[in-house]
Amino acid sequence: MEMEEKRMQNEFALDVRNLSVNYKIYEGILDVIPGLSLHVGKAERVGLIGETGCGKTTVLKAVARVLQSPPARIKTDGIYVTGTSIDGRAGMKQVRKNVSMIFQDPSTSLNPTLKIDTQMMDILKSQFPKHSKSEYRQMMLDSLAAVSMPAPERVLGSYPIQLSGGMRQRVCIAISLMKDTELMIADEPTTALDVTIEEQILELLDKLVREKKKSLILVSHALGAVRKITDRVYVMYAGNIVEAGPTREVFQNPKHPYTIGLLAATPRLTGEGIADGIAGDLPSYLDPPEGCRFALRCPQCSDQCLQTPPKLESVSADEGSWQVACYNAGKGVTTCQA
Amino acid sequence: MKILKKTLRRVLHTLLVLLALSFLIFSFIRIIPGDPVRSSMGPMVPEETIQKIRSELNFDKPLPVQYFYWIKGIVTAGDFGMSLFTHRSVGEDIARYLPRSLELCLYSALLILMMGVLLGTISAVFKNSWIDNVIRVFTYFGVVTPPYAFAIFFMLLFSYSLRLFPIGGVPVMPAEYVRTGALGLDALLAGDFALYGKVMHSMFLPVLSLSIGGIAYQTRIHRSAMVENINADYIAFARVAGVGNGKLIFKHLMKPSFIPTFTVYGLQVASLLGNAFIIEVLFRYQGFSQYSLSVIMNKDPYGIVGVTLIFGIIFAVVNVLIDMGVSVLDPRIGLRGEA
Amino acid sequence: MEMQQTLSATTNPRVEAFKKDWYKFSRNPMSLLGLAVVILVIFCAIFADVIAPFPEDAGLAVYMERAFEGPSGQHLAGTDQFGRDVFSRMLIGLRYSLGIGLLVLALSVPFGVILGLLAGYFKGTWLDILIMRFTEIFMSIPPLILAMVVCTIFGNGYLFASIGIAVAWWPWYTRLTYNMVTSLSNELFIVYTELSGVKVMRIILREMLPNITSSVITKMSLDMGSIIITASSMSFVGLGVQPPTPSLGSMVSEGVAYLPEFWWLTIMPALMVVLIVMSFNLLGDGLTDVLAMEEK
Repeated sequence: MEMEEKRMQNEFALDVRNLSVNYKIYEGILDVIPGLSLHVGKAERVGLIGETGCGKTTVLKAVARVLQSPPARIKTDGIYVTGTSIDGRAGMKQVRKNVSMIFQDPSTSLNPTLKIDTQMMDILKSQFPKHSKSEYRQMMLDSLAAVSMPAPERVLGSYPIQLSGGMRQRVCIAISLMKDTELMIADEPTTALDVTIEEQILELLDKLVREKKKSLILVSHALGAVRKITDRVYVMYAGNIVEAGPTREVFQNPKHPYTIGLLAATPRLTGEGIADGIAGDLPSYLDPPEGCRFALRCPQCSDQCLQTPPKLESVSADEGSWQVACYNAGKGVTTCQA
Repeated sequence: MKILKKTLRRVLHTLLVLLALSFLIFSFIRIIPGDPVRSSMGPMVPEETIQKIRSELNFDKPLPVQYFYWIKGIVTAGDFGMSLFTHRSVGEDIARYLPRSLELCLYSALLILMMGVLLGTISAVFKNSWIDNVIRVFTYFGVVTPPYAFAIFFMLLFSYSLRLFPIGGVPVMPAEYVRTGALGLDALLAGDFALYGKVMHSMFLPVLSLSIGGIAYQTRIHRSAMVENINADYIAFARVAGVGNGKLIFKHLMKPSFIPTFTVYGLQVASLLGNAFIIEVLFRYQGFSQYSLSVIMNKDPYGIVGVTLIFGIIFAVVNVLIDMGVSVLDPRIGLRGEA
Repeated sequence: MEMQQTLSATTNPRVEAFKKDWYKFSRNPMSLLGLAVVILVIFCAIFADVIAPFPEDAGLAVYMERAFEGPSGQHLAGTDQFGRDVFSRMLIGLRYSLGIGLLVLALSVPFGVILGLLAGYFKGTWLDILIMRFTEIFMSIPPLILAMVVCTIFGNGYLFASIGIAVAWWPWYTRLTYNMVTSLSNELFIVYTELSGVKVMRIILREMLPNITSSVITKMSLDMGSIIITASSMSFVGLGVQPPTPSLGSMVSEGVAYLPEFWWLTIMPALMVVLIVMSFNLLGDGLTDVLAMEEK
C-alpha cells in the first residue's frame, strides 16, 4: 500500500513494473526475464547482484532504452523514470534527459573514431545549448577534474585508443555526470578493469553519487563494494528477483538459499579460506523449470518448489521492505553452507 | 619521418609488383602462337620488311633482353613501344585516350560515393520501413545486373523513347580546344560553357550506366556498416548520454561506418576503368577502355603491356589514396604503434 | 535393425546441425527463392536440349520467313535476325554461362585455397612471402582486364575464356584462405594439435580445411554471379563461346544493332543474366546469414 502511494507521488527515481523480455530462436523461445519489477527511490542507491547471465544487463538496457529490439521482445506494464513513462518518442526524450548509464566495457563505450573533446562537446551541446566554446571547454575540464583525471587537457585531445582502461572508464563516468540526471545506472563499471583500479573507480562513483544526491542502480560482482555503497539490494537469479531488502540486513542475514550461496561464494580475505560455490549452472532459458528456477540447485528444495514458482513475500516487520521469493526461506536452514 | 619511410617502402613495393606484372604479361605475349608482326601487316608485305620491323621492335631478341629494352625506353624516354594496331607510339595513344576515360571514371566515382552514402544512410536510418525496402530491392537489382544491361536499358528508355539524351558519341572538340584530352575539362579550360554542357549531356548516360552497379553495392555496404554500428556500445552510450539524434546519426554513427564504406569504395573506383570498356563501346565514347579492348583483341604486344601497366598503376594509386583516407578516418591505424 | 538405423539417424549430430542451419537459412524467404531458382536454372541448363522448343536453332540455322518476330506463345522471347528462336538460344546460352562459372570455380578455388593454406600455415617463412607476392601480382590489375588478356593470348573459345577468368580469380581465394588460416593458427585447438606432434599435412587438411569450407562455399556462391557477369561481358566483345553457338553476352551485343525496334533480342538474354546472377546472390546471402549466426 505504501508503495502504491509512493508511486502516485512520483517518489521513485525509477519504477519498473512487470518487465518481461524474451527472444525467439531456432530451438524455441528464450524466456530471459519472465516478469520483473523493481524500483529505486529518490537519492537511493540500489545494488543488483547475481551471477553472470542472470539478466541484469538486459534489465538495465531496457531501462535505458538501448536494448536492441528486435530481436528482443519486450513487454511491460510500464517503466517510469521520475514518474514519467519511458515509452515512445517522449519517453526517449525522458531517458536522454534523466538517465545516465555507464557500461561494462569502457573500451567499447567510447566512439573509436572521435576525440574525447568532440564526444563530450556533442553531449554538452545537446544538453546545455547556447554556451560559448570556452564555457563548454570549462565544463569538460570541470567534469574531468571531478573524476580526478590526470592531465585533463591531454585527455581531451586524445582518441580513446590512446587512453588506458581506467582512464576511459573515468571519461565515461565524467560524461555520465555531465548532465544533471536524477538516475544513474552503472552496469558492472569495473568488470573490465584491473582489480587495483576497480576499487578507485567504485569509490569515485560512490563519492560523486553521494555528493550530487543521485539515485544509483549498481550492478557489480564486487560484492564488497555493493555492500559498502548501496542502501538496498536486489538479488537476481535466472531473470527473477529472488530477494530484495536493505543491503546490510540481506548481507548479514540472507534468507533466500541462492543469496546465501552467492554470498558464501565470494572469497573473503579475512575469512576461512576458499568459500563454497553453488553447485550446478543457471537453468536453460529455453525450457526453464516450471517451479522455482533455482530449485534444481537448491539445498532446501521441496515438492512445492518444483511445481509453482514462489512469489516475493515480505519477511520483515515493516510491510514490504524485505522480500524473498522462497517457500522455505528463513526456516532455519541458513546453516546449510556451514 | 616514419610516414615518409612507410610511403617510400610502399612505393617501392608497388613498383616491384608492377615490374613483375609487366614481365608476366610480356612472357605471356611471347608465347602467342603465330607472329604478331606478320598478322598485323597482312600477307602482302614482303618478308624483309617484316624482319626489319621485328628487329626494330626487338622481337628477334631473347625475352629478357626485349624486356630490358622496353623498360629502358620507358625510363629514359617515356617510350612504351610501338603499337602494331594503331602504328603509333603506345605512350602517345595512352596520353590521347586516357584523360577522357579518367574524366568519365571521375564523374562516376563521385556519383557512386554520393549516392551510395546517401541511399545507404537513408536505408539504415529508416531500417525496415517502406523506403528501406525500396532501396534494398534497388540494390539487389543493381548488384546483379551487368553494366551493359543498364546501358541498353537506359538507351531504350532515355534515348529511344524519351529522346532526352543522345544515343551515343560525344560532341566534336575544336582542335584548338584540345589540351588535356579530357573532354569536359578542355571545354572548361577553353571557357566554352555551352560545349561543356553538351559534353555533360552526352556523358550522362555513360556515367549513369557505369555507376549504377557501384552505387548499389556501395549502398549495401554503407547500410550494413551503419546498421552494425547502431548496435555498438558507444552509440548506446552516446545516446543515453544525451547526444541528439541528428548528431548521433550523422557524426557518431557515420564516421566509424565510413571505414568499411571507404575500403570497399577503393575497390569500386579501382575497377571502374576496367568496367568502362563495354560502356565506351556501346556509347561510342572512344576512350582508354575502348582502346585497351582494341589492342587486347588485336593481340598488339606493346599495346597490351602498356595498357595493363596503366591499369596496374591506377589500381596502385587508388589503393594508396584509399589507405590514406582510411587511416585518417580510423585513428586506431595511425596510433597503434604509439600507444 | 532398420528401426535402429532410422532412430540413430534422427539423433545424428550432423543431421541435427544441418537441420539447424536449414532452419536459419529458410527463415529468410528470399534465400529460399534464390535456392529454388538456382535449382531451376541448373535443371534448365542440364536439360536445355530437351526443354528448348527449337534446339536446332542453337547453331547455324536460317528461317528468313520468321525473322524478327516479337515474343509470342510460340516464340516466348521472339526470333532473331535469322528467324531463330531466342528462347531456345537463351537456354543453350544459359548452359554455357553456368558451365563457364563452374569451370572457373573448379580451376581457381582448389588452386587458390591450397596456396592460401600453405602460405597461411607457413606464415613468415619464404614460402609465405613467395606465394603472397605471387598472388599480389595477379591482383594488381582489374580481373576483367587480366581475364581478357589471358583469353586473347592463349586462344579464343569456351575453355580459354574460363582459364582466363580463373587466372584472374584464384588470388581472391588465396587471400581469403590466408586470412582465415592466419587467424586460426592462433586458436588454442590448433596450437594444442601442433604441440601434440600431429603431422603438418594432417593439421592443414583435418583441422584447418574444415574450418574454412563454409566461408569458401559462401564466397563461391556469391562469385558465381560475378563470374557469369564477367564471362558475359567478355562474350559481349567476342571473347569466349564463338558464333554460331549462342552465349548470353554475345546475344546481347548482336542484338544492340537492332535496337530499339527488336528490343527482345537484347533485353531477353540480359534479363536471363540478371535472373541467374540474382538467384546465386540470394543463395549466397542466405549462406552468409547462416555463417554469421553461427559465429554468434
